[in-house]
Amino acid sequence: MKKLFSIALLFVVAGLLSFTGDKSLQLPVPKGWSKPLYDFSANPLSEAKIALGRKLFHDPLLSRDKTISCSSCHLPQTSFTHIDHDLSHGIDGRIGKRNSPVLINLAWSRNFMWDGAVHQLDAQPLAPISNPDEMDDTLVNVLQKLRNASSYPALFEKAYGDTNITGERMLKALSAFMLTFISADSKYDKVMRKEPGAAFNEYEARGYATFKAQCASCHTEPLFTNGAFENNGLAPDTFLNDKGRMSITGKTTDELKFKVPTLRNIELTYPYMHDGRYKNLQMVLFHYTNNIFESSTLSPKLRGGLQLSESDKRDLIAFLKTLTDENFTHNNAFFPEPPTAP
Amino acid sequence: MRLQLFSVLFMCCLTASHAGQLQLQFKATVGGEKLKLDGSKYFLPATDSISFETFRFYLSSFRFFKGNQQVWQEKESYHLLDAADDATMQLNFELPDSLHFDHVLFTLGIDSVTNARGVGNGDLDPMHGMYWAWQSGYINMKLEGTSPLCATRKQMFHFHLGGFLNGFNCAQQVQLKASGNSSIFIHLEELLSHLSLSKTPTVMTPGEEAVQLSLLAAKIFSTQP
Repeated sequence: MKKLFSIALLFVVAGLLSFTGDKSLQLPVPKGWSKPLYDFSANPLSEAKIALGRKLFHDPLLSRDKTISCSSCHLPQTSFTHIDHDLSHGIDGRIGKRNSPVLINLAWSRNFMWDGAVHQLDAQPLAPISNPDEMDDTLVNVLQKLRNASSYPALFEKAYGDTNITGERMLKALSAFMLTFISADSKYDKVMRKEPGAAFNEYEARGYATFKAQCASCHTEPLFTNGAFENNGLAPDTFLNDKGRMSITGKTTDELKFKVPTLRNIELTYPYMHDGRYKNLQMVLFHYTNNIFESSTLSPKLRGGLQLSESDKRDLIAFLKTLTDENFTHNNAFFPEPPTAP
Repeated sequence: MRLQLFSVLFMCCLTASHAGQLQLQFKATVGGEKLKLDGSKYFLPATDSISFETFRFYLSSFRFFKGNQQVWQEKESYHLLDAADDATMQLNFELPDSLHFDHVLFTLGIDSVTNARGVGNGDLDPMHGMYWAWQSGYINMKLEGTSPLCATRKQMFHFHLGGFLNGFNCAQQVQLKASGNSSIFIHLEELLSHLSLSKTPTVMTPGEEAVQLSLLAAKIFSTQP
């Protein structure tokens, strides 16, 4: 009996030792939202892991010449996209072929990239790190740079219990940080939660009704995307010649289809569309009413274009602006850690 | 390295004295000769001259059978084998004592369930270079080299086989007779006899071609030299 007790004690002590000294965190799920799709059992969140991911996300060490970080094209103050740039800019001033997408509510994303080329969040950073137009480095080289950097071994130890720096650990720390990018505190959310004093004005209320009738089948609440791939009637750019989802699945039925983006913080994330062709929301709505490019894969809901009057459009834009979440764009936890005084 | 291996084996003997050690030795060959990745030239009917630079592949999900009955399966069964590193070409299994089996089943590549989970650790860590960045997923097998038949830069051929989505699942099962320690030969000349290096010197994306090549690649594993 005594022996059994001491064996049990041994296990408890061993358990404490293997514990990294950081309580595992639960991602806060906004009320009424579905369960996150991300598998947290394979990457339990912790403060230390999120802090490591935060440093990595803002660190240009991840690029070949140490000039480009994740946040170069995914700026927290604009909902993690690169405003004013139709196509994303990378290393040596090179220009990519798509508009950098926002990073919002990623725990609810089935796949990533405009064409869904990446099926799991942990694998996502590999693409920009190795893309010659973006960070132009290799995972092996980045890991070596991290091992040689003075601050990282200690941060990995805090997050994982020892100083071993592996690809899996780096990627999962980046995921941990990115998973915290939850936007659910816009005026829209406050109205839906019936918070005291929160109410749509008459324009916003009419815009919301129009939105539900005309837009919500793809831009489904509360994420404002259904996560599907759709052809929204953009005439192909003959210079970029981007086939969208078809380049991943090889199916002609996926030609010109791109992932339906969330509309959260849409006011802040211009220019719009996968190639950033529209500079403002007026142009976007004009596209949907007047400019639909008919092709076999066009979303059936868009055949002939949307029927929206000028006042419908004005109301819709008023509503879309209620999706702006300033607590998200001003969240200090998303910005680089301020330097500590020496 | 050797010392490390010895101490690992020693530890295994200490901790698992009741278990049986099984060794499967994988041997990549070209026309009966051991595969060398040092620029050595081989002459094959299908390819004229050919030399190899890279041969790396995943084997996973090892299961052992007696007749129709599965008698043992390896847990967390993922192995990255690299013809450039002999140590990786020998797999050791800790079988339960007095286990009898007559054939072994394994997967060439990484199955879709494991792929769907995202990035793994150990041999599955993407830092080993067997993971696609632009379209995520494991690369099941890499075979690279040169041949005058290839109308490509530096006359190189690249076969990176993988993919698990959209009906293009490349992971293939291999079944071999074995009842104890065995050598398993990988006859690269058989794979090459089905390829046209002049027509298709490069396959580096998931798709129908990768599936067809994977089916062929699974057939070149044999217990016969």
